[in-house]
Amino acid sequence: MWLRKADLVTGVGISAFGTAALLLALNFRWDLAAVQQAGWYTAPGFIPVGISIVLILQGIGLSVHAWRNGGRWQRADLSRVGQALGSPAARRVAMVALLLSIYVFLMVGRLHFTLASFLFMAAFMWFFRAGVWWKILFIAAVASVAISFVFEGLARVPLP
Amino acid sequence: MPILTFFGEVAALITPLTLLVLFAATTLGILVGALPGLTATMGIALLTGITYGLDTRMALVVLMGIYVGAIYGGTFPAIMLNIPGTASAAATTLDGHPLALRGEGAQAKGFATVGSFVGAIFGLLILMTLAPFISQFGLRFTSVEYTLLALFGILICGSLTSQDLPLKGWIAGMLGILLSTVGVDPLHGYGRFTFGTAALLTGIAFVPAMIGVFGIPQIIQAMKPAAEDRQVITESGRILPRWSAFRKMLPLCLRSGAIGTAVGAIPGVGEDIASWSAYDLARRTSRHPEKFGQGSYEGLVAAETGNNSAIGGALIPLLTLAVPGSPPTAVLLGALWLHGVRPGPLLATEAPEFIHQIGAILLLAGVAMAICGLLLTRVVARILTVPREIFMPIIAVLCVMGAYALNFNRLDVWVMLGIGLIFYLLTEMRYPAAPLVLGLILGPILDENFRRALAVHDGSLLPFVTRPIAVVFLAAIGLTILSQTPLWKRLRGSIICAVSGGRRSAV
Repeated sequence: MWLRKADLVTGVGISAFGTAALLLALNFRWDLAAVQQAGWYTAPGFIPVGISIVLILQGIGLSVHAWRNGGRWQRADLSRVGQALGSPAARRVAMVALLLSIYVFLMVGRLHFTLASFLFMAAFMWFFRAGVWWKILFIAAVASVAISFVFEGLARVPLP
Repeated sequence: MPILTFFGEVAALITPLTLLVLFAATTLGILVGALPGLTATMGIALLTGITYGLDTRMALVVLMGIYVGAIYGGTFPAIMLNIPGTASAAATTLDGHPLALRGEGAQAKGFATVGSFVGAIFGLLILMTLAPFISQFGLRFTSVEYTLLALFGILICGSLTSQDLPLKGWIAGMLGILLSTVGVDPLHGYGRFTFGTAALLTGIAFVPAMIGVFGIPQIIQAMKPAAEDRQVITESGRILPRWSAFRKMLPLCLRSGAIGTAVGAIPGVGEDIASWSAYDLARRTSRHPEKFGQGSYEGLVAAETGNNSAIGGALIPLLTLAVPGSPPTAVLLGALWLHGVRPGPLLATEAPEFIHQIGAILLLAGVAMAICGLLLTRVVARILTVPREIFMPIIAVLCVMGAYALNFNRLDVWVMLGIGLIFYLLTEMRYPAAPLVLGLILGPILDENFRRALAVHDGSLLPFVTRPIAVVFLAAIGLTILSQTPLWKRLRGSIICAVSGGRRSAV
């Protein structure tokens, strides 16, 4: 039942995404000289417009299916969503996403890759209680140095 | 003589360095497949960057070794832990783990290994037999057929890989196609969905996107439960099955190999569906279907033969039509492009030795898989005790490096994580990953060929319904969509009712 409730919302989201893509694609150049010569169906926006329309219809279809199969939302559902978002599993998911985001968006490319990776791995292992602090630091140090060596030293790939 | 060319390629590969690399890659593949949360696709995607600097043959040795090893490696945790290491080993758990609980784990691993080897070789034989004919057939394809092939591939993949509604698979496929249109339009050189950013002009690189789709959700899902219950069941004893015992399984192996190869050849579907299909067929045709799920060697061998034979099957459309048969071959396609190899119908004429080369590598990788698999049982059992809290952050760092290593572009790393996080949410709502990836790969084929077909025929859609091959594809597309509608289900139900009613009245 929860899946259908989620489908109802996702269907609306997919239709909205399709609509946004459609509006953007309609604003592509349809009057290029080459397009006028070869036909409007060769325009850069032709396929994106078609796919966007299909996505809008699919989103509507998904929502309709969800609505008919018990996906209707009631007021009490909102408080249940709040409870689910505060659950330990949701917090663990949020923490993984947060640690990954900090590592990728804020650390990689700004700090030396080996240091950034060491900090990320140590923080990850510490948060998820992988062991005692010296073991975490040791594994994070060995793994970050080894990965940097394999890529930079052996595969000749420059580090980010 | 094609067979001589094939054995010539096998002989060319038998050098100390190549064999060393092949055995090392296959071992790594087995470990990748054995660790729950890591997949064959992720393994190949991560290694693609590292192999960029190698020559094409050696790069393929590494990637095929990883591929074959990882598909097989999923068997270990399936038997020892009741957790499939990869999705393709999910069917293996049904009988593999009950056998381990009965104290027959060693023998189960032996049967699984031999079944996997037979499956890999069966897939190879079908690949080598059919690939030249399909290449010849593919030469008759025009833009019309390529358009419909791409569309059919995405739709059938969406239908077969979706665990919930087929519509979700199709949505994932359409999202993939839309993502593939980001960047410069190949026909007119016009930037699409670039938002004025120069970095987006080259489009979304699909290897980082694949690492995101297959890597990030796996990491998050692995860390989601508060604790993991891992009880590794190991025992010593004879691993290799006796010939007399295995001989009885040979017909089953051939049936499972045939169905695995056929399912593997369907665009984007892959080894997991092949494994389930082979398992299902084995149960239906078995004299003891009641033993399935309770520790049946037939079930175990069917699942393992099915998933490994799908490797050869998945390579057929990849090499002959440039359409990947499974998610790992989708990454392999990217790796081939990176090394300047253009799979498709022209490959057989431009580089006729290439298919033999791939076949030779697959043969040796199959041998390496069997040897390493039988020798590594204890090592894998030890590695399986490494907690996820330690290896998941290491995998995350490898995902970052894998995404970066292809273009040395930080934007690729951002794309990898962005797509990965969004796709995690979709995974929670049971959207399959394979159609999205296939859409990303086949999107440019669909986009370019559809517009070209219309341009060549002055905007007429008539060739789509008059060319014989196009009509077959169109009918297949129509059936794929129609088979998921309530109308079709009602129609099917009434036909079955009519047939059974007719039989009853006849009796």
